[in-house]
Amino acid sequence: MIDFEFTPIMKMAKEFTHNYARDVMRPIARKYDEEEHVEPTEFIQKTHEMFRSLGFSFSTANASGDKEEKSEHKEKHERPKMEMNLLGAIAIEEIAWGCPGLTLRIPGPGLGGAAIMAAGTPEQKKRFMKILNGPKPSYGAMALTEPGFGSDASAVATTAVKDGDYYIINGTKIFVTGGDMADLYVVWATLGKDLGRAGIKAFVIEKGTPGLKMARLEHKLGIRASDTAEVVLEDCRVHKDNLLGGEKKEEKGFKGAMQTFDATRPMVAAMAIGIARSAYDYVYEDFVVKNGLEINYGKPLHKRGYIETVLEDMEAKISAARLLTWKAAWMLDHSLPNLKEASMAKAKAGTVVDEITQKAIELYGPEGYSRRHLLEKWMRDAKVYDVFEGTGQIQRLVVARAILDYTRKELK
Amino acid sequence: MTVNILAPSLFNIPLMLYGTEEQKKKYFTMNKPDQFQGFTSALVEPSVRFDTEALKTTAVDDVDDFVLNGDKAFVTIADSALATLVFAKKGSGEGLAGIDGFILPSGGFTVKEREKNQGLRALKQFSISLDGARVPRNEVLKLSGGFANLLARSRTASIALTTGVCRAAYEYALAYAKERIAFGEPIASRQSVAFTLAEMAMEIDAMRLMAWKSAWMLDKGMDTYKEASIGKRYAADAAMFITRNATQILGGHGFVREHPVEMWYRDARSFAVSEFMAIV
Repeated sequence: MIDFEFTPIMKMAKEFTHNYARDVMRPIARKYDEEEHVEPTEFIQKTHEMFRSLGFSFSTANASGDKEEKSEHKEKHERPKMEMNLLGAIAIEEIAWGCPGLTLRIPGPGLGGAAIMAAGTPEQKKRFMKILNGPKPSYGAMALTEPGFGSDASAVATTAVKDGDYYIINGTKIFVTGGDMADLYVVWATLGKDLGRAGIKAFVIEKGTPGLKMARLEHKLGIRASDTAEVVLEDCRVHKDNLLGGEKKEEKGFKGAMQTFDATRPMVAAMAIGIARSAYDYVYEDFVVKNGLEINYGKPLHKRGYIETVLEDMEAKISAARLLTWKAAWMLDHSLPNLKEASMAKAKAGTVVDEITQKAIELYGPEGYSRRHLLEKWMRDAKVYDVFEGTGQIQRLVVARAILDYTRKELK
Repeated sequence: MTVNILAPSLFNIPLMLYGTEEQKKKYFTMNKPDQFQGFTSALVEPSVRFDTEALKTTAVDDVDDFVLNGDKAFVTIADSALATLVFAKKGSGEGLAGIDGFILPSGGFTVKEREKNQGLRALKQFSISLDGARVPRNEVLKLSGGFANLLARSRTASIALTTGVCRAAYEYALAYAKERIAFGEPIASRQSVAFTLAEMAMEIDAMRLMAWKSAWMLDKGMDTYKEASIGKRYAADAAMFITRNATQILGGHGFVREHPVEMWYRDARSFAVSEFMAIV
């Protein structure tokens, strides 16, 4: 059963990350929103050094963890020493509260790292994580989406053709978060359309590999501090040792990609909650703290004003989304299958962050629409949280299939 | 039914937390473990402007007794309870802090007509008039400002109760959607139905976690008033969404009383308007 008590490390991480978000990220959030595509070099370096000195990384890569260690905890029904996913969810909410765009700029294993941890062999995990956790700021990107598909990951058109000890990769990948700065890319390609899902494999391609080219940067609605790139692969030769999970493990292909999401969706949900909270806190500060308004929790409706009712509603939604997120992260920490719960958390958080950031502007009036305040930025930033890592519709599809016990064919 | 059965806890829990040793001895020995004993409490008053924090029922100090005046409504099993805990404002106390409990024996007040509610029709609730009922000092439950804590407890229980009703409606609709064939396939295989069920499942999970978190905070002795109040309101809103859609998924069959979903829809409406399990 989930324990709502924060461990001393969780308390410390929450406080530390919150202070960092407030003192370091918030002051530059507007700048890097306005100056899209300008690299926040100083922030990257500073953040990297800071987390490195703490021995703490914003990796969702702890997700799969060590299988043996996990089963041991399961048998003993104990709280694992470090609930890394829960800790990550708590900390990343604070960081995203500072600025979601900059959050995605924080060096570390990133989505690429998460995929490696979910689908890689022990040797691959060791080898690539060494690169991603190195002394210099580094970043692992995930290159899955293509111009021809988004949600339907089985429609991969990028090809991988075997040539001796190498695979030759050809194709175009879009919407690669951090695709401009990545040290390695996890690129999903098919060994042949006739093989279906079993033929879809992930390859780790290091920066500088001939044939790997960053083609262009997207101009986006929000999260502008983080760049999203189009990556083109032209006869890119990748050694077979870079095929995630190795050549033999058939089941680690497409399923591996999907398992990545069990770990990343709760983290993305936590980020969304961080944004929702930043908008809520901003409005709360002005209306409640500075203006002497009181929120009468539990008062009957005729004794409450519109604004306090809206604020309480926001708080309830944040709480609901956060509890779903913690549950999904906690299940992963305890080696429980969390496919459904990860999607629930993501769906709920993706919905409430849009609602709350929109409503916050309404409460604020014309001021809220002005770029003098960050409210309008948060509303723009929020939208992608109901889109990337699986759209809200895809999350609901995953949940619906799980509760109905339906296959892909039974529920399209 | 659940609320009927829970009625004694509305008496016993406040007594356990705030009663004197003498009171506990007296009333807990009246409780027999092997049979249902009627105990209840009276909080809600018959007014559209009812506010828990501004009770109209008063308790006035008069020599050895307190004299109670006012009307209460939605008092569960008021007709048969061996004792009823009446919440009233004492003297000049402000808000929740000025409220104490007063124990009245069976027949200590006038029981009026049975309440007729939209749902929860198995529930026996009555309006009562206190008409200057006298309560001796040793039958006063001094809450010492603990009324907010009692509300937090009942509101937490209300979240759990709401979760149960929602689950009943959701599970029924889910099973129905898998069986009901339209255009050659189960209606559950259509996204408009399946996504609605997914949304219902999400909300149920969320409200259950809210109940658990509030209960956990109560167990830790934390101030849970805000958490429980927010959770109760959220769950009550979600309950309308869930039971309404459960009814919708059954189509015309959801509207007829042959299936229980219309009942859950009516029952669910009570959660937003209940206080201290009254109405509920």
